[in-house]
Amino acid sequence: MVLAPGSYVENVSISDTTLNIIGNGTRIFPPGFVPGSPFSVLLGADVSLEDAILEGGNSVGIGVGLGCSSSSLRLIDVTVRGNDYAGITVENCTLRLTDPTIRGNAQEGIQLRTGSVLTLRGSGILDSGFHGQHVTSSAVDIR
Amino acid sequence: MGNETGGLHLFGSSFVVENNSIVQNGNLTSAPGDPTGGIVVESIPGAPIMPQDIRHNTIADNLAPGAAGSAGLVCNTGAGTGAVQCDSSIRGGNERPGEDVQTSGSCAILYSNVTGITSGAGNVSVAPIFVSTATRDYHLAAVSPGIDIVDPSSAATVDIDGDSRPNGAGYDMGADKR
Repeated sequence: MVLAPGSYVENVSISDTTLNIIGNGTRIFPPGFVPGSPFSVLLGADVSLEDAILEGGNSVGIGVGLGCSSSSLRLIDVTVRGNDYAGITVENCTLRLTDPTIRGNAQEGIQLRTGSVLTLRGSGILDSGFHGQHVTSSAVDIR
Repeated sequence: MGNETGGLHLFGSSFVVENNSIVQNGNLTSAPGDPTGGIVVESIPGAPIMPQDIRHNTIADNLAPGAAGSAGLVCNTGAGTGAVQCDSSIRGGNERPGEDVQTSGSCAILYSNVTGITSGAGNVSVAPIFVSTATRDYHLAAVSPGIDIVDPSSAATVDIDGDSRPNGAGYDMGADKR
């Protein structure tokens, strides 16, 4: 899937499918009138996302920039910024990040919960409200 | 960099942390959650979860607000959980209120430049000399004593910028290859 450049007001949620998305620098942010996240991957999905900006997740405790649960997700040159909760939160998820910018999120930059695998290359995790990365019962390779 | 509670908190996990610049995180007065400063490793009881390697990192100028927090690198690992290997890294300028705390706990430190620590193979305690900490540029300066002096058996092939290691007479300390 190739997205046309621009801004999208969406709660994108992908489940139980395989999808490769080329973002062309698009901004994705949820509508402001309901709590939500710009991008979520769950229930056995296998997703790659390249060249996109995920921002504006709203509502403390819910408004993560990117959520991943029980899935596989690859991000290339993706920016996650300005979300009310963590930038990225994953659980039982295999996550590969290449050259991400994760900046100015209200809680952790990346929050790995139980059973996740993170491979991070070329990291830039800046100005988070909590830790840059908080990892629990997972496996990480950060270089 | 610039993360309010700290750089990296690893709890009950396996990890390889290599070629990272973990700098200027935390503060001396307050922080939400569990204040870390640079890196905190905590193990859970039971069999070791391997690998636990921290190598070729620059961990500098991180702050933590109190005795319960960290500052540089802290390994809070219990008996039987395996040793955290930390080599070829730089730690300096990490503080808690009223004290410098570069490392505490059970980290196995080798070939590193850690303020106040000279025991252990290859360890030195000297000013690391970066290009410009004021502008957050933690590349090694040309006169840095960390050049060419770390573990000759290092397996790292590149640095934080993707430049090839080693260069010159040997491997350099920290995330950057001069």
